[in-house]
Amino acid sequence: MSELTVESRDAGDVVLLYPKGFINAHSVRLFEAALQRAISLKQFKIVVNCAGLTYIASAGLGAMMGAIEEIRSNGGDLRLASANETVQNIFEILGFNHLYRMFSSEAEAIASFGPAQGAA
Amino acid sequence: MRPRLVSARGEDARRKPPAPARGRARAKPALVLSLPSETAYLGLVRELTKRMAEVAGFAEPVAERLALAVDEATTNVIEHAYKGASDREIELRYEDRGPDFRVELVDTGQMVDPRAVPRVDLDRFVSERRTGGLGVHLMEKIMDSVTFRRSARRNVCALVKHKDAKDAKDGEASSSR
Repeated sequence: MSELTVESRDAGDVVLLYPKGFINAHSVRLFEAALQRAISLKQFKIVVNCAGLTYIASAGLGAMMGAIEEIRSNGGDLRLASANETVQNIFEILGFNHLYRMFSSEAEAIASFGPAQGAA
Repeated sequence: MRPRLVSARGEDARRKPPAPARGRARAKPALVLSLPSETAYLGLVRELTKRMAEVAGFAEPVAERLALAVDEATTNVIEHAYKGASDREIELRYEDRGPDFRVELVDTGQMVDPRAVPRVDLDRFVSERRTGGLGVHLMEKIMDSVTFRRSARRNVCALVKHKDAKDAKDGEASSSR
């Protein structure tokens, strides 16, 4: 049973993560691995496109908390796009909507980082 | 170990069937599920809880939140009471009590004092890179009541949600009874 897949692609100096399925204490390792892969590649501008994310439990929020300090201390950020009502609601219950910027579209989230540095 | 439906009629092998009530409305029988302490079953727990909440009359968004609370409670049992051991047993008991929807989780693991779980402080979470305590915080935010008790060497976590009209499915009363 594949509860979660996490694909990624680059958009300039922003890395986009596409979790598809749900993140709970069982599937969270895949999500953590995707975040750590971006960090290890020094890709600190991260957009998590939540369009395919049906649900996130505290394990997933914990994974973000575990990575955010390193991301921000390196001048980056972790931002979210296209979260459905369920996922938005979970963020709001915990007050995470004050910790993470959320955008209604992927394009807005990418643009929020400003022009790509080093772009031609 | 595979999940085992102990009973959909309240006849748990370890409990006596409830005696017929006299002079008052009988509670609906509980649905009881026994499952292994493996995180692989959390998806099943979530789906079942959502369906049970919908059957009890909650609208889908509320049922989703209740499913999250029970997912978190189950995760807590696996990670804390059983310390990650996957060969133990968790019993989930769903009861539609008319005005209340109640879910009990029973385990035979180590007693965990919920008062020892630090309260969530988001600023400290960021500065101290803490990730624990979110589950209990979510449970308390979602449910009307979250209680823990130790009884006969078993831990019982009871989650209760009152049926308010605003949480009900369209066209249903605040109580599904």
